[in-house]
Amino acid sequence: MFTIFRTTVRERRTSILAFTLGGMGLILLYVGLYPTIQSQISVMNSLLAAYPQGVLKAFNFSMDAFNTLEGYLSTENFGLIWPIMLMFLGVSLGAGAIAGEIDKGSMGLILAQPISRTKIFWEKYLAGVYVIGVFTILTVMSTPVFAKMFNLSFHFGRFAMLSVYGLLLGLSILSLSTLLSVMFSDKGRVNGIMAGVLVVMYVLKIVSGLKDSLINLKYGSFFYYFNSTDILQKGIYDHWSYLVFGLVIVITTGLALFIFQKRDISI
Amino acid sequence: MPQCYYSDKMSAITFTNLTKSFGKLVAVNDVTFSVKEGQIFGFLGPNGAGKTTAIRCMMDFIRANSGKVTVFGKDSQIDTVEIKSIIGYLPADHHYYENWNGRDHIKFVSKLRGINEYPDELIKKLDFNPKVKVRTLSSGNKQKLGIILAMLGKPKILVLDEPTQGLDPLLQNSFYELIHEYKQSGGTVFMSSHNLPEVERICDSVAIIRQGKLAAEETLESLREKSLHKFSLLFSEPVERSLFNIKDVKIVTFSPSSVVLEAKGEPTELLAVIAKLPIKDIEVSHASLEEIFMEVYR
Repeated sequence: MFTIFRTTVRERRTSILAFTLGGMGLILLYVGLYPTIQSQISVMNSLLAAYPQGVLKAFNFSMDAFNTLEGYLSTENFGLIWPIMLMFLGVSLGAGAIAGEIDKGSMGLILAQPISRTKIFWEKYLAGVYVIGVFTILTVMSTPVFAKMFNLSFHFGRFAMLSVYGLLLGLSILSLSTLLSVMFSDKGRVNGIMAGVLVVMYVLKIVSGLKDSLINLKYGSFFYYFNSTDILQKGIYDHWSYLVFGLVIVITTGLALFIFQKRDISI
Repeated sequence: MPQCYYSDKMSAITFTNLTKSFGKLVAVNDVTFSVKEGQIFGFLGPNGAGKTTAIRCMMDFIRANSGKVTVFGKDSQIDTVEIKSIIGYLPADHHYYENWNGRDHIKFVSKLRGINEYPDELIKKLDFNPKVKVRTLSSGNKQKLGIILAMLGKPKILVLDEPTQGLDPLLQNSFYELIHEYKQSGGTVFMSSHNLPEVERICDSVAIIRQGKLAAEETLESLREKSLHKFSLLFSEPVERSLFNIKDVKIVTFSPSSVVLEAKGEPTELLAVIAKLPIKDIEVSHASLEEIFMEVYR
């Protein structure tokens, strides 16, 4: 039962552990630095104030970001570095799930066994879901633990909500890269296309904040729906994000399964 | 052998009008033949003839444009899971998980197939070390691993794509013994090969595929019988070349004192001519399967 799922997770055990510990270590570093930041809050705020308004708006920086742990972490980590780590993980898992196996030729070994393509797909996909879940929950939810260690005040619920949004973002990236993974039997190609797509999405989000006439471009970006400043600093939860991420996950995963069931795999 | 739930003797594998194209290239073109239960069946053809494509259709890696493959009456695409539970498959190009050793692969495939026993005997017979990581294995050892994985749990059918490539002659012999034992225990073997002496040695029947089309389907014996005889004649007196201008007889080399001939089919007419000649020495041999093969492809 779930041999492919367990094998896939076991294969990535060391890298997942290292990656997750790295993410947690980074958060620990930021949280550990926050008391120093807090003591220099007027300097930090004036530093932010020195930025042009357009830049602050484009990168979703708030003037009072450093007043709270949530605002500070949103600006320093959860607004850019953490999503990049999550993207890297999602793309790598999606690309490796099918295209990686076809690329290596090891898919032939799996396909020769009495197991349906549907089961192969789901076990591979769910292994990705599991890894993203572990990374997201351990990294995000370690933050309140670290805050407690440094006697810092925090909103537990906001971190819990960030986990939910982070999970949805991660699963959307995983699903999209899995779709490309079943379309192209080349892991490198999937990685390349996904990197391009995510960079374009990031640019759309930035550009939409620079000019009012371009504001609608933000709807084409995952980074609009995963807004760490709103979630962490302001406690605003956009319910449309659930719908958009949910639709992306369902549609791309369904399409990926359909294509994987139908396509030729010449191994 | 596992309990056979297909009780009556029937064709183990049947290809029916199988056609598979890749764009404009027709890799397998309307191929029909069947493999009887308990046979060792050789599937012969040069590179690009369509052997591996036909096998991949059977294994449901790729889908036919038309026609079908059935295994014990079950459709290879619709009933793929059921069929694969009775097929052990050895691909021509074996790719494994480089960081795993043989034991990891055996355990992985055993779990997927629901097999509990470890193939110690098979490992010993093939002199395979399962503790070595795959990335350090030679191609011959990778082939051994492939054979072990294909034979795990003693499947009812073995589908082997170029099974002895990379094996040294001693291991080839071990492999032939394994295949014979497997056949004697009731198994069916469908193997593709370029190695004609190998096919000649172990197969009961053959199908020859050429440019995607089936060129011949014969028992090995009938294929040999209908095919070529080679005559090497030495004369005590000079003879005329024109004596050998006989239908289905080819002059390979000629001098007034000797001739080498190839005769297709029954050489009755040639034998009548030879009987009247001043023969000093004569040697008649059956053409090898390779020569027959080349004749079919000419």
